[in-house]
Amino acid sequence: MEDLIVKLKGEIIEQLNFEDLTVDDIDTDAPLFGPDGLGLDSIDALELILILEKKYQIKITEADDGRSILKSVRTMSDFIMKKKA
Amino acid sequence: MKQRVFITGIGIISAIGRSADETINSLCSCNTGISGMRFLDSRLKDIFPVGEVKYSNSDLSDMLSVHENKYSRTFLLSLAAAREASGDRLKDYNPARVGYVSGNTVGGMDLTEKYFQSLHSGGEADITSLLQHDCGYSAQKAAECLNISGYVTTISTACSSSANSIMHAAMLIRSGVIDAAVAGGVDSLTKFTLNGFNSLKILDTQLCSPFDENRNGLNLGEGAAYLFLESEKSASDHMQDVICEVKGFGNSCDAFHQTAMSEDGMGPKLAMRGALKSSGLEPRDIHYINLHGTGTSNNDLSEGISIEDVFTGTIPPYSSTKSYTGHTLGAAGAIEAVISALTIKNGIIFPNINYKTRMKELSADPVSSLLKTNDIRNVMSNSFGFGGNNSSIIYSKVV
Amino acid sequence: MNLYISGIGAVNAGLPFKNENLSGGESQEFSVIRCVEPDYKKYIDPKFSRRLSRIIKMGLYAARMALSDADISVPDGIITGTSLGCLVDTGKFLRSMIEENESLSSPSAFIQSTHNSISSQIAIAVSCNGYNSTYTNRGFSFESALIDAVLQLEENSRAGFLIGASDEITDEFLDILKNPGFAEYSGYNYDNNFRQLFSFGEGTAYFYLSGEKTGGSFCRITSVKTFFTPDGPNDPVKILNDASAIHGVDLHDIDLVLSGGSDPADASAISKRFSGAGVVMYKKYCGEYLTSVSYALWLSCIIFRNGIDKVIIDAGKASTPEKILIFNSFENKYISLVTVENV
Repeated sequence: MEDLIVKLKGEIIEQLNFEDLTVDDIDTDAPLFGPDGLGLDSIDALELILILEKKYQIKITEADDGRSILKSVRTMSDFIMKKKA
Repeated sequence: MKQRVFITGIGIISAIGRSADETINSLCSCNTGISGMRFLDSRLKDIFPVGEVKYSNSDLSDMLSVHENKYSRTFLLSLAAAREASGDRLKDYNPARVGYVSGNTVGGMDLTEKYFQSLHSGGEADITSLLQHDCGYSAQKAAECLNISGYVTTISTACSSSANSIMHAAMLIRSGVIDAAVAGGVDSLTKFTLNGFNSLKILDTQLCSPFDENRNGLNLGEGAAYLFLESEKSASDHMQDVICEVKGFGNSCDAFHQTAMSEDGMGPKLAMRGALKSSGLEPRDIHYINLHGTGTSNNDLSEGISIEDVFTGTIPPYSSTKSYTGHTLGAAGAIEAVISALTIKNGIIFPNINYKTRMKELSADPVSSLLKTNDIRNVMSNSFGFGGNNSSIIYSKVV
Repeated sequence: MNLYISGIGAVNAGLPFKNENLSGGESQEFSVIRCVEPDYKKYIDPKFSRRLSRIIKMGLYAARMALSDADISVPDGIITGTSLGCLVDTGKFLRSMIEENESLSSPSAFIQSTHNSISSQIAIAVSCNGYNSTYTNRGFSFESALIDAVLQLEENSRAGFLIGASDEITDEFLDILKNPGFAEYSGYNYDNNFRQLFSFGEGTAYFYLSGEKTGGSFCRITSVKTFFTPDGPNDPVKILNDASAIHGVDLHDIDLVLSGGSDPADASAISKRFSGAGVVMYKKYCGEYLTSVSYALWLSCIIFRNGIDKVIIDAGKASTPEKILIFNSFENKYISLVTVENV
């Protein structure tokens, strides 16, 4: 699980072009959106969905609660684990 | 004393026809031009309906008597509409006093993407096709074909490109830099834009429903439209019949986000208020608004709220004709300018087809069936683009 | 018409220095003069940098520099000229679309590829809700932006506008430029053997200007004219004479010409036309790109502000000029003239 979290953080940094951040700079449980965390916006949400599709072959469907899934690195990795199980 | 700017010619080609006459017939029939893709060879062709011009490049080349298979669809569409707008009058005008001002967003990308696709597949590819890639190519070529040399330029402000072209041409004429101009814009369907909008997840898999509570996104379209604009003096000197006037305009920037409009619609409000101020009109003087009305959740909410604010207590009839043509991107402002001119000339408001349910935030419904009326004197046409480039133009009957 | 300049900013190849032996007018292998990139953090918050491609960063940096120079926080409007737009992101999105067979495309690359991204990102950064436009018409992109500024400031001469231009060169584009099949029709300056006459270039420059003189104004644009000449003529002196006689451009008292031409014989003829005024082929310093007139205007501003002897080595006359003519031609179809005077 920890490996997945580290991998996911690296993919977020790359896909969202955070040139000055390292994996250690991203708090696993901090909100990804809004001013308290990484401050992502609606375009970034689409990029995160693209990470799930491209790297993990997981599509977020109408039935999934997209907001909760993308809330933090932790919730994203939980979702990936659940889908892969 | 600034010259008044009149529209004395119109030209249009879109999913609903290849001339102003065909266009008005389609508009009156209330039949959409949006359907499945015929010519664009995309993997997404069975997923997203589009407002495609119903002629292949080969058909267009024949109609225009130009070399087949050589030109970008963007250029072919623009020449078709520009020729209709100017008719045969240019021989009577001094070319050095006529301008060509065009708007588009992706230039000759239809050829560029074919070139790189061919290379990727290991096939033959003609590198000279890339000479048509940039946005300015089609304006240069069309100006050469029409023998226009007074002033040539291209504007690229996303979905407000051709609205800004009309504005810029009008200001050049008002200021006396030129006496007349062919002004408008063009965009052709490309896999680039189709995939681009799909990556933003704002395409509707069904026929779009602008301003509907249950709207699901936009349908992409393509086309071109141009106005022949000239000063009052030039129109008189050349004995041209006047269709209507470019009365006023406003341009603002939302300055909020690269793709999303601010929820309070600051940018659209400024553009509409700017147009009213520049035309010397009050909100109650506007008899119809041709909406930008793309069918996306964000645009329609922002535009709807802005209209409720700017036109409080005196909201005019409004509709989005993108339900007929699709969202023609850089051509939208000009296509909707021609439709606004046809509205004024014929006294007909063309409806929002495919509309069912009022948006909960709004107090009015768009016009949803053909409305014939005698009193359409002032029409506002909105074009709101990515990057917050918002433009609004008022067209008026000349009395 | 007068456009008073009170602030400038640029990301480009830099100033020509004394004794710099940059070539021009001689054929050379394909070479590029790239921008000297600054520390963008000076004017761009790193938090926002990630969403900005290189050309947008260049534009935003130069725009903020110009505003800072003019001591202005929010302009009344922003107008940009870019002939090729955002090449890096256009290429990125196109490549990904083709390689992934139209699936899984990144929205960021798409939205950053649009030509108006530069002007609109500047507007977002400085919270400018005013007039905003982008011109993209080959050799007239920057000139159209200036002409639009004239029109806007005629409506309100007290307004202050940020006007600029930005074009970048990428390795992919360079490969295309090197292809003889493309080169033959591209309109760029090649000799008969398809060797470049100038290096290819890139650059960004922004100017804060107003219709009225202020305490900070250090020069003024007194005319901007474009001539679209698909049928020629090619003779620069004839073009200049027509500009003056037929189109009323005031070409009296020009004492320095910044010429986009590559032919020393033309430079001599132009010098003679202006009574021995110095003629500098400015593309030696910035390379050939379609909005290079913005570099020449930037250079003119520096000349007026700092004095010519610190700027150019081969200007002919030693003293700082009072009136500069910028004269450029692309493909013999796009002729532009800009006159700039001291204040």
